[in-house]
Amino acid sequence: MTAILVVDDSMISRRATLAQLPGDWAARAVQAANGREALEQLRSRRFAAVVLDLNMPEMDGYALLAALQQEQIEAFVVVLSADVQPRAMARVITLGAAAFLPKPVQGEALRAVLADAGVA
Amino acid sequence: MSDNHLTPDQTEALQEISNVAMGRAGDALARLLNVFVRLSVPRIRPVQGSDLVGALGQVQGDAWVAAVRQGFHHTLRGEALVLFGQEGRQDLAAALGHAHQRDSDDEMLLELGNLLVGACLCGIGEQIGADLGFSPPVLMAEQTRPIDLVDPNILHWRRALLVEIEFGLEHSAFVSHVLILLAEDSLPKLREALDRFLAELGL
Repeated sequence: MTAILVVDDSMISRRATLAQLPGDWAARAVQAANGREALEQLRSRRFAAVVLDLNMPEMDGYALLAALQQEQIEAFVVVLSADVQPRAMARVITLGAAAFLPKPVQGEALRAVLADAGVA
Repeated sequence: MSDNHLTPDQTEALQEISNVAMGRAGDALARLLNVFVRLSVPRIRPVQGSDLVGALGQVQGDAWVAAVRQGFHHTLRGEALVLFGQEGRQDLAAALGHAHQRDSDDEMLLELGNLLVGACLCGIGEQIGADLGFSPPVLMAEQTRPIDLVDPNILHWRRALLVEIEFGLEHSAFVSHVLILLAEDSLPKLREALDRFLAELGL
């Protein structure tokens, strides 16, 4: 059974995201505190979706998206970020993200986007 | 808790709240300048009045800065300092010059300081239900070292909580820091607000 990967350096933000996941997805979710930890997970297994922050230490969300493209790892990535500059949104879509949502997380919007990945 | 420390959960909540506020401020700056603004992870730390000079030195080292100061009051009270690095400031002026008829450097710094402080603090206040009023921004210095900005002997508080937010311009060495000093008599209200914020998240 696949899981959702929640990537954010803020534990509070990860927990707020988990609280908005539908059904029992939160109980099965995997957490990563930066892009490097997430990349290790994504190299080893397939996830139903990835909820990804942008500004993180060690490896940020942009670098993770670029690494996924370079290593040809397919993932349904929803960027969830406080960086709401239109250019930030455009960049992550160019780098392969499926959607961009602004922080703080809005449960309805997150669940609607995740439904496109078959997460319900 | 009577000092200027927060619990780890309160600190992380304030960091995430500051992160969202920083994003809004960065967007406002990006729209004004028509550039991409680099954001980092906000930092939260307690400071004593006597440590403030050292804390300012850690923010931008010995680099020359200009500084704008703006007080705030009501639910939370304190002062915000905006440090504008000297390096790459011509990029800032050039970007703003494209957007406006060129103001003087003083006006440019006051306008940007006001924008960043207002966006950061209103963003924080909105998320925790705090009403805030602002004093007019004041240019403290056009060219100085951060450690020479503040005389610790004339501060109105002994302890504060420092929220540090950094902005940079893409393809430029320019960096600006917004330093929000929350005075110690505001901290009980801040802790209550952060506990409510955490409770609403079910944490």
